[in-house]
Amino acid sequence: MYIKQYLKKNWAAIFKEEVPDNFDCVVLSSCLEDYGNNLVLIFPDRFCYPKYIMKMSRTKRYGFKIEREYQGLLSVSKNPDLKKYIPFPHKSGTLNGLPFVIQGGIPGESLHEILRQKGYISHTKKLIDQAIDLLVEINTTNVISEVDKNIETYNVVDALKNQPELICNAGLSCSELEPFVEQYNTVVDRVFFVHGDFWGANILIDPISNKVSGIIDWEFSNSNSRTLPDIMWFVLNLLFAFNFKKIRDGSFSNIIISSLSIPASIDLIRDCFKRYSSKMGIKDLNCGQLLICTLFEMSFREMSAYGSSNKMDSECLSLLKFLTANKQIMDAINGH
Amino acid sequence: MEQKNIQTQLNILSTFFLTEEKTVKVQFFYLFNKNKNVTVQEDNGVLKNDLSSNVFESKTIVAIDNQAGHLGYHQIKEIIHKSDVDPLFGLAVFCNKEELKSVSKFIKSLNRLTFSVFGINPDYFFSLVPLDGQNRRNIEKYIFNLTSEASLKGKIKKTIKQAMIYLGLSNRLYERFVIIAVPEKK
Repeated sequence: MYIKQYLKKNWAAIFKEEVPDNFDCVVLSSCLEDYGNNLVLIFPDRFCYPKYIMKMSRTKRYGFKIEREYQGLLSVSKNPDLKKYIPFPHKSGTLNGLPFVIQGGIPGESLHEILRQKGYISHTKKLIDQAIDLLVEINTTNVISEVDKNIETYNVVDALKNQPELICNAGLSCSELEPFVEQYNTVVDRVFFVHGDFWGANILIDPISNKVSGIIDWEFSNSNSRTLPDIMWFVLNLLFAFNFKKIRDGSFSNIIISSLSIPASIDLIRDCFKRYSSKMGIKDLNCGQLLICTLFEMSFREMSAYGSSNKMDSECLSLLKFLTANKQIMDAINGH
Repeated sequence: MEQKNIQTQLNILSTFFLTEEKTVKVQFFYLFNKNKNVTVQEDNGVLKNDLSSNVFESKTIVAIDNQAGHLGYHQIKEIIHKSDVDPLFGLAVFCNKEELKSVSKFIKSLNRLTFSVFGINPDYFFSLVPLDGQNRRNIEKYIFNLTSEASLKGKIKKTIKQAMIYLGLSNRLYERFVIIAVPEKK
């Protein structure tokens, strides 16, 4: 395999260590869509998890995601408190014109799976708290990456202004959209570092120490964001994980909508938000407003980034429409 | 075969053969069993019953997807024989468990190709697990743990899979197999 020969030849230069006698490569696709990536998992002998992972764009068109991931990892690796939790970015480059990044592998189980299986108990609550504390570290990392340096503000609203047809395609009118746009731009008054896809599946838990061991998948990271979607995306996915078993065969939006009728779910949203906002130290951060803005961003993110939407976009859009139409739920979330 | 699946296969194959300086082309042959006759379909979608096309240009990966079972063996041999050592950049043969042994034996007999066998894991999009490495058991434990259902059924399925890996019966966990071969000198 040429990919193996390439790694063997460049091993010392990339990983700053001697090339092992034997190593194996597992090749897999992250999803079946053309904006997905191909992954080469590199297992040196006796390793029970991939020590290194080569992530490669399937087409040149989506190569920017790989570059964004590499730059995001480089930026976060400068934060000494976060460095041990991120896949170390060893190299980026192109092979046959396709961008790739080689990063360190992190052992651990997906937090999402643990939450789905164990539910909300004291052990999982500790994991959630630790994830929120790390999120605060990420969001307050004060480094603007090379990729984001030249972008004054990178957000979905800007993208939508350039592509108004996307709004119509989503079944919304510009007048319906106006309040979201207004809120979106006034949630926070400075730039933040955002992970961009902060949810349980991208948070790894060390089964021995039972603590967070890593945060992966940084291709939506943005070091120059004027919005803070991470916390609410994390919380929505907590609701999804905890209620998945109860509402069988339900979609993401249906499961969350059903869960919002349970007072414990509202308490969970408020508790997570309270922990996050107190640690972030941002005055007047509004839980409901942040939730709406997060859903707004997630409804249009893939469309504005890739030019095509996926199932999750429409799920977020359904949730967005539901929440904006149900004032009493928003009041409960805001603690009124 | 579903179009998206073909694209994913092609894409994954390209990953195996990526190099710094070369551009490669994948030429796909699908072998089907139609009334006990093997039909060969190339990736341009034109059905052909002969193998006279001049596709073996330089830096071509020949990929053969054998869905004709044992009947396809002869055609696989013919396609490989038609490709010369020098211009052939790589070879990938997708096959089922039944013909895996005979196709591997044939490729081994050529002496001009080095090859590896991969299992196609049916549970995680499109993943290829190396089966001839020394670390196979650890790799399989990891890969078959990537997806899991929270249900009791899912947990049982997972336990059975891990037991099969432990007992050395993991070949049964793969949907199909792919043999990846490159010229020996490369």
